[in-house]
Amino acid sequence: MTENSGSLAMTAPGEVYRTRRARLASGLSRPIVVFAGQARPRQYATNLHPFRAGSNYLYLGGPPLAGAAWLIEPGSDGERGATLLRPPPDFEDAVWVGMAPKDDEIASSAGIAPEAIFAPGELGEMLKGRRAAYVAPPCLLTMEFIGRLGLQAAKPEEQQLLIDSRLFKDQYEIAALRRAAKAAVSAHRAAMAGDGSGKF
Amino acid sequence: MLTGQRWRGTVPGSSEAGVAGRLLAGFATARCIPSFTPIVTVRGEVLHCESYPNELKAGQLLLADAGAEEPGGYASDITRTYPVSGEFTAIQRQIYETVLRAERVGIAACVPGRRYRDVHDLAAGAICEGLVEAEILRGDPVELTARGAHTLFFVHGVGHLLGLDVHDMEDFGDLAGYAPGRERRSDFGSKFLRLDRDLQAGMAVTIEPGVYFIPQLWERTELTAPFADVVNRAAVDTLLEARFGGIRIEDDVLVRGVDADGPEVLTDELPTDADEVTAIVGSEA
Repeated sequence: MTENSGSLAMTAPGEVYRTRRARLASGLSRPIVVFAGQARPRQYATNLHPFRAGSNYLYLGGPPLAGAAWLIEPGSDGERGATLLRPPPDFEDAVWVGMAPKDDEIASSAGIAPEAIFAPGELGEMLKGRRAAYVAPPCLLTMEFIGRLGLQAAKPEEQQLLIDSRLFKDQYEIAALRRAAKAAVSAHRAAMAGDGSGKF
Repeated sequence: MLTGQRWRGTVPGSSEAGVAGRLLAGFATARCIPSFTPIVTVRGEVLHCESYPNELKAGQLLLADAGAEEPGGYASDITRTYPVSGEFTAIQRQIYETVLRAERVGIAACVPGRRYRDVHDLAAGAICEGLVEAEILRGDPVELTARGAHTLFFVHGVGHLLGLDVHDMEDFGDLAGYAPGRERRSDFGSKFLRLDRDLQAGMAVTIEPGVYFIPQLWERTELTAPFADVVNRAAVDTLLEARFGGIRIEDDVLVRGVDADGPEVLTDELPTDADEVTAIVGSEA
């Protein structure tokens, strides 16, 4: 297996994410929606802190896209029964912040078929008549969306499924931790040393 | 300054903000972002001090607690404490060696099957030993640890989970950090322990003991009175008046299987040995 190192900065190959989603799904008795969250505003709505997707969403193979989410059905094998909800790319976003990744690239990286990608606005219809759980970062816009859909916070036993999986790092996670460690070592060393002129 | 000459003493303009800037530049150059707001302070006793208002002065200790988040979201978390002037005073060095011993004991204990609270207690024991040697505590270190005398100095837990979050899965609260059936203690010091699981291969944690001299803590008689018989208050007051601050040393540790030769220290390329640390401070990078 090769590292999944395209523009989406995924840390593992698609099949690893499929396995993680299947592991979660094997313990579910109802659907669960795992949200990426949104960029948080600073002092007004369009001046935003940099977006950072929720960690549970990333762990399951979500690309770093604001407003996205996973819908995982009970018993999913990580591909069938796993739906990625992503906001449709907008022309004006391309003007202001650059091209959004295409569905094919996202699907390949996340280990799903492009046909398993839908818009978040379709989530209500997908869950119609069914109770579903959610996991989300503390983000006001996301919580408003969750409220409109009537999703229920994941129960402790549902949260535990994610915890039990994330507690133990696989080879791809360990490689990523080593990268983060190396960067911090280098930065600390430079900060301790100063600029060589006596200042630091 | 001449090439290769060791720098001794502060230079006007050196500041907490300057050090923080170098850390942030280092992260950006490595295509990373900070995994949390860096702590860079000569007031190391303020555990999560997040502003950088101070110029650096000779004799002070600088505490830098900062980590990187790589593009996929995984975090690191390192703390180093070093003398601004490049040389520890005698008491600074003695306390530094105490914290370092606690860190090394804690790291060595990160093996499968070891309860993380026991790792914390081992580090606390090393701190009590060192504080007895420094004549700040009096008595048997084992008994002092059992009584909790270390909590006046080592006021937080020995570390936390590490992963996609710098405090991994802290959004799940103690459901993530505490094994089923275990609950967070309520007494000062112990209640700040974020993790109490039995360690297993594949877990990533930090080990980050510290010793702090916190003026506000020593004004709280309900915290200090139970230990009046074992604390050398005159020694503590001297260090408070000198604004000793605090020392914390932190590395990232991966627990490996029983067949491995102990844990992997993910951040071990950054020295902790006092002489190695001071050799870097103010040197030419």
